[in-house]
Order: sequence, then structure tokens, then C-alpha cells
Amino acid sequence: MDEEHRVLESVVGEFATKEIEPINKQIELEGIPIDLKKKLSAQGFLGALAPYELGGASLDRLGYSILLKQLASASPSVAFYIFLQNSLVIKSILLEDDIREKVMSISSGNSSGTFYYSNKLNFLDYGGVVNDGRMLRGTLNAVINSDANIFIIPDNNGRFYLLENGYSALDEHEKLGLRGLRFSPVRFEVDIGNAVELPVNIDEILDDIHLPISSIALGIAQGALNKAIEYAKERSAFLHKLKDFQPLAFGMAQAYSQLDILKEYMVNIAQGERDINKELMLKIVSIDFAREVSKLALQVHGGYGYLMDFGIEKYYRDAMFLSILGGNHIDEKIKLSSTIFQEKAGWI
Amino acid sequence: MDFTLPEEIEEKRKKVREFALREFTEERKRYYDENEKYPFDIRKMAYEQGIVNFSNPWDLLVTIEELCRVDPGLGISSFVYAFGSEILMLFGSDEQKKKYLEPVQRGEKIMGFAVTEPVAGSDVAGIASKMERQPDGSYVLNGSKMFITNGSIADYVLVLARTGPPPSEEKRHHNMSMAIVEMKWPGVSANKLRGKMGVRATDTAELVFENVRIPPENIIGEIGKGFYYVMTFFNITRIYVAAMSIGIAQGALDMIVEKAKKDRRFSSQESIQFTIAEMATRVDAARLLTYRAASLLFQFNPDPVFTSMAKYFAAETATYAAETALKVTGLDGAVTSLERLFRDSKIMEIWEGSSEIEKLVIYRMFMKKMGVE
Repeated sequence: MDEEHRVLESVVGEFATKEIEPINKQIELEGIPIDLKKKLSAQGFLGALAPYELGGASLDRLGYSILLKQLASASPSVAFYIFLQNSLVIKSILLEDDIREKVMSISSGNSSGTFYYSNKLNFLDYGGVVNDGRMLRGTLNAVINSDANIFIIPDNNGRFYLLENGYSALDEHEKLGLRGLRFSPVRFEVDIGNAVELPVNIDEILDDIHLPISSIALGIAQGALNKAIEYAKERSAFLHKLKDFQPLAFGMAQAYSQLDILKEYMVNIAQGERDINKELMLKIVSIDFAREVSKLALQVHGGYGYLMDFGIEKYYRDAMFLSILGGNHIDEKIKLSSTIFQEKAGWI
Repeated sequence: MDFTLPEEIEEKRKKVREFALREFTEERKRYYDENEKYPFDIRKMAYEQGIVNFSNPWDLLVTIEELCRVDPGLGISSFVYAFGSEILMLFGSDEQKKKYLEPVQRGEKIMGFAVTEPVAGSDVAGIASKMERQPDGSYVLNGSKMFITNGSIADYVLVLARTGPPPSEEKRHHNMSMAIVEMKWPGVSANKLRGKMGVRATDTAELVFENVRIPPENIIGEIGKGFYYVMTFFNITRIYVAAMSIGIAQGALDMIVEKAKKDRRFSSQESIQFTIAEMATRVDAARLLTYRAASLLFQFNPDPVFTSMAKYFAAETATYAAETALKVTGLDGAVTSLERLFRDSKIMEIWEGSSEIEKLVIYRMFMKKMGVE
């Protein structure tokens, strides 16, 4: 990693420690405060992928990966919010020159966007919005960041529209994870004249999320493991520090090694020529790893790990929610199998 | 070898299942979980409708399983009001049983069991609370307890404390005793713990004891035997935690099966079919391990190896099943009770002896059986 990216890693790490860690409980209970969004904006993080003239930081793939990893290490909710705004909303808006200025309102923190892709994650439909030529009408049942004021949603024909009115968020679902973002159904009733059609290719968009989702997963693993290591140095049982017991020390040493290798791999593929298969492989492995490590970290903390105040249980919940929101496991494994076998595979 | 339970126990299982499906409505599950409130109304219903029966251990075991299968938070709250009662049954005096145990069994009072401390969880022998004998024969208790189930709603708790210094590092578990402490006594305070990841309907508190005077008649059994009483108790309750865990695992399996029934595209994937096969196998293995350990216990011949194997494996099965079901059902699971099962399940690997402690017990006792001291 070059000097510029090393500096970025350190700057984001310091930002997370100073600005996010102290309000982590507030983020979990009340959502990401506007004050934090403004601070993220001032650093250029909110519009990380947007060009400078639109208030962004114009980060390259490695810079963006580092940003998400470091933020997720402190708060997976904040990292996912940045991912949602950049990888899905800003990228989609930038497909249409006439509405480019909307990016400025997102990167400044004045607007918040969401992009609906839940119907691509499972076999069942999560409601739908019907386009009858005059109106877009219907309910989408699993919208993350549902208190946004910019919605990018598909209609029943798979065409995507940007809406800024005609929506109403319904009661929240119980939230498994990423509690800093609202998660609920949203009802739409919009005059088609008030919607902007965007030339979104959903498959391309979803191919582009492998690396950022991997970065968040590795950030979760890093945050959880760091806390577990610190706790194991302090906490004693049976007259010894936890770190002195082989099963715990070996488990954490193994996790540390895997994390180091995965981070190195992330840096390499983010710097090298674009390789979607490698990005997909990293995502599949990183998400499982984040779940395993966050579970280990919680177990090391014992009963305290089960309490919100210790800031460890959120990693376990968030890793699971990320694995659900991160892609369609079966479709992606079929794709990966077919790549490996160089013909149709894994379809029975 | 007969792998069937008596007919009346299977009948009871059906009755409990119907009760849980009827009374643990989605609204109630969500309300008590979100608000972290103990469901007094549900506890009362469970008692009045004869759901909880402490007089037959197999009846209690399947009841726990079926209640937790539908909702662990409400399920555990329905029967845990008698937590610690086995200690009084086994080691309490007739007077203590009459005064403290019987009102709990009649559903009038709530009891708790206070062993864990802020600096001593798995390491029971590391506790620091002290009971000091006074010239008049009474004891004065000082110290604090952590993660105490029913802590802020109990009428009384059974407390483990030191009644003398440890004779040596190897014998730290000596000189510990148990006493019944009424929560209304001067010097006792409870601080309800909020923000648990799961089983949020159950009550959990930190207790503080400041110069609490305990009359000698409230000492349980013999002075200095407290550690042994607690270990005996764990040999019983670990079976019930295993039953909770089987309930959770079965509940997760139920949900994946339900989705498979409704969605052909889902169930036609062979990877999903194998997942269901693996999950069903593990749930059954956990159940068989637990029933074997329970059978020995209920015949007054407990085997700590089998008990710890059952608790360890069933708890891991609960988290495995909830994680796996949630992973494969995706958003479908995330917006239903499955996400709650996922949050609830993790505590099974921690309380009543973490998985690490169970492995220690298994190793030591297993090697002893193998003739290695």
C-alpha cells in the first residue's frame, strides 16, 4: 500500500476513534445523527466516490475499501450508510447528467438516499411497485435507510426511477442489525411525471458491490477482534488472564492471521486490474469470516459480550445482517461455480 | 433401549405447543422484546393453565423445549420464576422449604439464584462476596452479583458467598456457603440490566449487598459446602438449558421448513435440501444427547460427562441452527421471529457454564472414567 493510502487509513481510523466510538450507543439506539453526517461530509467521506466538484473525495477503489473497512471497524452502520450512498445511490444518479447536482446534496449531508435491491436477494418478492404508465404505485417491504428523501426503486418491469416525493415509510421491522439505519416497508404513490428514470443495470450495480461489502465485512472482523484481544489482556479467570488460555489465544491468533491475509488480498485486488471473480471470492469468504470472528469475540467477552454497553454484540448482529444484504448466496455461488468449471455448474 | 417418551408426556408436549402458539402472539413477542419487560401476565397464564409442572421432570423438560421453540424470551420467563428451587429441594431445611419453596411452587413468589459476580463468571471459585459470622450466630453479607436472572423482580435469592478464606490456590472452592436472602431486607439493592442482545423478556440484574444481616436459619445446608451445592445444581440446570437450546434449534428448523413448504424455488435447490438435512440431524443428535443425560439425572444417577456434552452440543446447535436458518432464508428470516431466535440463541453458549467450561468438565470427568486422574 502506498503512502497516500496509508495516510488515509490512519486518518479514517482516528476519525472513527474520535467521532464515532464515543457515540456508538446513540447510533445504535437513535440512528446516525445529522451532526456526524456533517462531519463525514466535511472529510469528503459522505460522497467518497463522487467527484470533487460535487462535494466528494473521488476515492479510487483502494481508498474506498480502506474507508469502509476503517469505519465498519467502529460502526458497521456508518460504513453501510456510506456504502449505500456511494455504491448504489450516487453511482446511479451519475448515470443521468441532468440530475448530477443531486449528488451534491447527498455528499453535503443535506439529503439521504436509498436504493432498493432487496428483491434480488431472495427467492420471494418483497412487494413491488407497479407502473401503469401514469403512476408508480405499491409497497416495498424491506427498505433499508427508509427515512431517506431520495429513493431509487425498480418498477414491475425492472426499470429504475428516482423519486423525491410520493413515499411514506411504514412501521419499522424488528432490526437484526445495522440499527443505525431505519429498516421498514415503504409505500409509494407517485405521478410518473415526478419520477426520473435512470439507466440502471442492476446486475452491473450488484457486481460492483462485492469489494465494498468485503471491506465492511473485514472492518467488522477487525473491530470485533481488536476488542476481544484487548479484553483477553485485561480479564482474568482461574487466576490467569484470558489470553493465557490456549483455546482462546489460539482461536484469536488464528483469526488474526486470517484477517491479515484477507486484508492483504483486499488491498491487492483493489489496486490491481479489475477482476470481478476475485472480488466475489473475497466477499463470500469475508462475510463468513466476519460472522465467525464476531461470534468468537462475543464468546470471549462472556456475559458482558451479550450487553449492548460493551459494544461487541452489534458486530455479531451486523455481520449476520450484512451477509443477508450483501448478495444472493445461491445465485452468486452458481456464478462462481460456473466460472471455476468454465461451464454451467452448481445448478441442481 | 426405548427411544419413546410416555404417552402422557407427549400429550403434555402437544398441550404446551398449543399454549405457546396461542399465547405467544407476534405482538406479545415483539412488545416484551422491544421493551425489555418481564411478562408477568404470561407467567400467570402458564401457571394457571397447568403448563409448568415442577413435579415431573420429563414434563418440565418437554415444556421448556416447546415454550422456547416458539419464543425463548417469553418461554423462559414462563418457568424461570422458580430458579434455584432445586437447591432448596435438595439441601434446604423443612422450615426453609415451607417458608420459601412452597410459595414459589404455588406461583405466588419469584426466586433467583445469585452466584456470578462482576469479576467471576465461569470461575465460580473466584467469587469475592463474603458472609461473616456474628457473635449472635447471624451472618453479615457484603458483595455484589452480576447477570442474576430474576434479580430485579425476585422476592428472594439464593446467594453463594465466602464464609472463610480459601485454604490454598488449589482449594479456592472451599469455605463457600449458601444463604436465602430476602430482597426487601435492608442493604439489598438491584439494578436491572438493560440492553441485552436477546432473551430480553427475561429479567436480569446486578445485585449489591451492603451489610445485609442474615439469620442463621437462612443458611442452606452446611456451612462451607456452597460450591458443591452449586455444582450439583448445575448438573440439573444444564439439562434444562440444553432443553431450551433444542427448543430454539427446533424453532429455527420449523421456520426453514415453513419457507420450503411455501416456496418451491427455495426448496428445489439441493444446497437448501442438504442444509435442512444437516440441521434436522443436528437437532435430533442434540435431543438424544440431552434425553440420555436427563434420563440418568431423573433416575438420581447424573453423569456430569453426559450432562456437559448435552449442554455444550445443544447450545452450539441452537446458534448453528438460528444462524443457518437466517442465512438461507435471508430477508424473509430477518423480518420475522427468526431474527429474535438468532439473538436469543447466543446466550445458550454462555450461561450456566460456557461452552469452554463444559469442555473442561467433559475432559476432566471423561479422563477420570478412562482411569486418568
